[in-house]
Amino acid sequence: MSKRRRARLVEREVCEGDSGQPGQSPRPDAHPFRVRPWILVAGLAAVVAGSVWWGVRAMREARKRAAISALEPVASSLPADQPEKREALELADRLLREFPESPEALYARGLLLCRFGRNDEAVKSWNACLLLTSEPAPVYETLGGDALRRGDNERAVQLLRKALELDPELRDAGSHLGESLLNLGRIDEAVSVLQRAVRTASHPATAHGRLAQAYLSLGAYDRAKASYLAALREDPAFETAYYGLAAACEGLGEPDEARQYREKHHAAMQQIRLAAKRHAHQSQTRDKAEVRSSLVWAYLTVAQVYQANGQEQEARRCRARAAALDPEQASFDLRPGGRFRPEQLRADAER
Amino acid sequence: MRQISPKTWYAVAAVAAIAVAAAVLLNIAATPPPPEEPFPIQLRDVTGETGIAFRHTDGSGGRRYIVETVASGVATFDYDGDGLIDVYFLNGRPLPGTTTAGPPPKNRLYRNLGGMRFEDATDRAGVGNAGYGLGVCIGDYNNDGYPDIYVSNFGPKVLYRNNGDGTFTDVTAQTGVTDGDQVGAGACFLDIDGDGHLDLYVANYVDFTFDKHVPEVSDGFPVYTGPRTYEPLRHSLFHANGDGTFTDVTMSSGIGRYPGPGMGVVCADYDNDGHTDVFVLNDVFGNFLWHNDGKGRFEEVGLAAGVKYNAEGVPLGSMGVDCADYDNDGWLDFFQTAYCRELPALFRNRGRGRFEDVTRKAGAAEGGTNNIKWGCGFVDFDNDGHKDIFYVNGHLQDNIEEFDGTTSYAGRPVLLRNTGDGHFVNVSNLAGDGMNVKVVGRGVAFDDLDNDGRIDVVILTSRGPPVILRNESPAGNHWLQVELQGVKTNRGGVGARVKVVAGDLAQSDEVHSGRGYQSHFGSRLHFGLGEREKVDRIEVRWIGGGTDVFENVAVDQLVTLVEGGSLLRGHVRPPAARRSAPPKEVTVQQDRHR
Repeated sequence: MSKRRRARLVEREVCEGDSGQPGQSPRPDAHPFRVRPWILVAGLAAVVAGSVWWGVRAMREARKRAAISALEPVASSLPADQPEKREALELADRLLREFPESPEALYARGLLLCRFGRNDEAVKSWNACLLLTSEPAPVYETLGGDALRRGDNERAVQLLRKALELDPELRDAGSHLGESLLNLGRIDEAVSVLQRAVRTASHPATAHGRLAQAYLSLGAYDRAKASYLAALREDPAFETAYYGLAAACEGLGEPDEARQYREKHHAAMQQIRLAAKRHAHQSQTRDKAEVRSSLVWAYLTVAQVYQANGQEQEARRCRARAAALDPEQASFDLRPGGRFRPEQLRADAER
Repeated sequence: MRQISPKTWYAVAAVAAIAVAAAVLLNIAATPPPPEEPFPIQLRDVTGETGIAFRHTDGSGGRRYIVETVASGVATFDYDGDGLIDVYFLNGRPLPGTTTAGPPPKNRLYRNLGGMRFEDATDRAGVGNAGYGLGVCIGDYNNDGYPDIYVSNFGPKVLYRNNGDGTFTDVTAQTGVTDGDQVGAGACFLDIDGDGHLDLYVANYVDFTFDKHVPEVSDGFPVYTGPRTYEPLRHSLFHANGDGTFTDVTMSSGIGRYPGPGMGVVCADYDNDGHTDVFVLNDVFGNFLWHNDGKGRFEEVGLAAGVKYNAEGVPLGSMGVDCADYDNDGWLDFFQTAYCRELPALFRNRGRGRFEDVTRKAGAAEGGTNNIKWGCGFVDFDNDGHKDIFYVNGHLQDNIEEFDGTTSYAGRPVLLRNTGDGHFVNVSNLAGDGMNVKVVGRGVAFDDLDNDGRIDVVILTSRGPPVILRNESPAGNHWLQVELQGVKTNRGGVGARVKVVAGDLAQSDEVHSGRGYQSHFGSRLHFGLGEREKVDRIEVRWIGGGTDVFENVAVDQLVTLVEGGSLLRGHVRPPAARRSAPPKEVTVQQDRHR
């Protein structure tokens, strides 16, 4: 043993003699700085877990910041000759300015932007909302609906499935998912999704119609017929169903019934054509009324956000402005305030 | 021996582990990836190399007349008989409110010089019509062996007779096919009664004049109005008298019974009864399928046949249409494009005059839902014996992005690859840089512009230069191109049905005049053969004539089949050389197998 090592052992004995148990002498092979492996592993694990937790949190925070800072005011991009649309988009800007970290505000902002054709900015707003909200299901549902409208069926399926995983009771996610799956040619999957969706959809006739379409594709004519009839029971104005009914009846070998449905469909098409012509000739006045109605809806939506954030006075102001624009619509749409309800907001927007 | 502390061991072990991990990662990074197989379809944008300087105008001056939205079609055909497919672009003309000066825009004919180079031959050929061009079709109406041009305008239509020397003569007045001052649409030559002379179907759009213009607004923005704002027009049918003139038989044939806002048209014998029928797309109205009784009488059977509406019973914003036997079952199917947020429609022919909308089931719904779809075609791009679907997108509202963020004015084309089992897969992102062009598409034409056995693409874009996509797909598969030459029947073989059998693959096609979105292409039929090295049998059923059979035909060539059984061989260089040359060493051979 070297002199230096012997000296170190002596020194250690002295130390352990001070603090060790009486009568116990250290083992001759004991190392002065022995680290037990489990302590090392546990320590390392704690450090790693802490780092990961901290990293994830920091990344999440950074993503949140980045998502919020990526949102931009939009009203200034509109020409000055569109005061009502500008007013509506200024409301969207106001939400961003006043509640940059409120999921309710970001969700409502997305709806406003979407209504006025700023869909990309709307998607950014909903994505930011996703990072903040504790109720992401309706946001996924809305994003899925947007993807479906853009024709991105694969993405729509992903988003809508996620929405339904989080909340199977969502009203329109199933119907939209069914349509996306139909568009992708995944008919069997669409059937199982739509069978559930007809019970929850906000417009059950559409869901029944889609289910009927799926059955027709599979050659299940009796089921298709039943679904089309269910669609018409839900909404007698769902007249394109007559066309599918005719096809189903033909498949079932019921030619007379098929002919009757075909005639009904033809008559409905004539009516639609005439109505569309009247519509086109009233374009200017109709459009003005629609924009105004959307502005009223925008104020009522923003009022809900103020209310959800405890700003009762601002909420009242927004409702007053909506009533000034269109007392009838505003009174119809006025609901008692309370919990923020994204689904209700979206239903209003669609209406 | 000196003892090493556990702490040191741990440190050494950690360093070693990190070193090993780093080495593994570096090794992975340094290993070259395995060479990627190119996707079987490759389309490259070669517009800049073609010498084509055409630029389309819709004549817009800010007043948003409805006709601006539907211009224009394009035609590919070999006008000078040199074996190279030339290109004829339609153009608009300045409408009221336009302030641009300079020479008036006109239609342009580009002569193919070979090697994908083109020269402007408009003035020399005399086909620079300065009318408002919407639709075009090609057919040898006087059976002289040279293809003639019919231009469907907003305003008087024009028939150019090919003089056979590279020039054309406007013979509209003496032939009687002016068709008034209406807003035209797609047009087709067809032989309605099998008398060997090409008749003419001309679709018309809506009863629009500048006085009837209806300005429309959407979300506060001025927009183009739709076809429902105006009364639909009656379409026209002209019967060839056999002396180079035509008689208007619109009413006596039954065609005049129903007006409709016509768009694309394609003629085809959908029920295999030997008579050419007419499928006309109508814009948000319900399509017409005119069934031909073979004696020049037509009955509209679209509803009963299942092609009037889509599967949901909705009258689509129909635009372009093409026809082919995509599932090789011997029945011709239809594909049609549609408006934004509508799916296109793939109508599968189930036989016995019935169709089924299989768009979703067949996977043909993917791709362009969020834009307006226009020119389209069934084309076998990879020569695998299964026809793929190509279509172009582009909105008609030039300010659409101001009020609808889910779509855009310009759009990328869509390519749906036929998997051979009745299904299609959207391969737009895989099929070469040509699929990345973002244009406001209208008419599209598909033909083999460089005679390499692969079908190329010509896209007419509204208010812009055209786009030429060269097919540079891997050249492994075999092919056969067929030109028909009628003797007793019409010279161009329009309406004749050709069946090509190679081993286990049997394909059918028909010679169409006018198809897609108010365009013309594909007079030279193209059959991909996959790896089959021989064509066992070709059957040609002539409209109004008999049937000729040819056996044991070599692949990778263009053949001209003459009614009566002769086969003219045209030499086409193999794909690998990618040189363009007109067919050479043409020899006439008597058909031994008739």
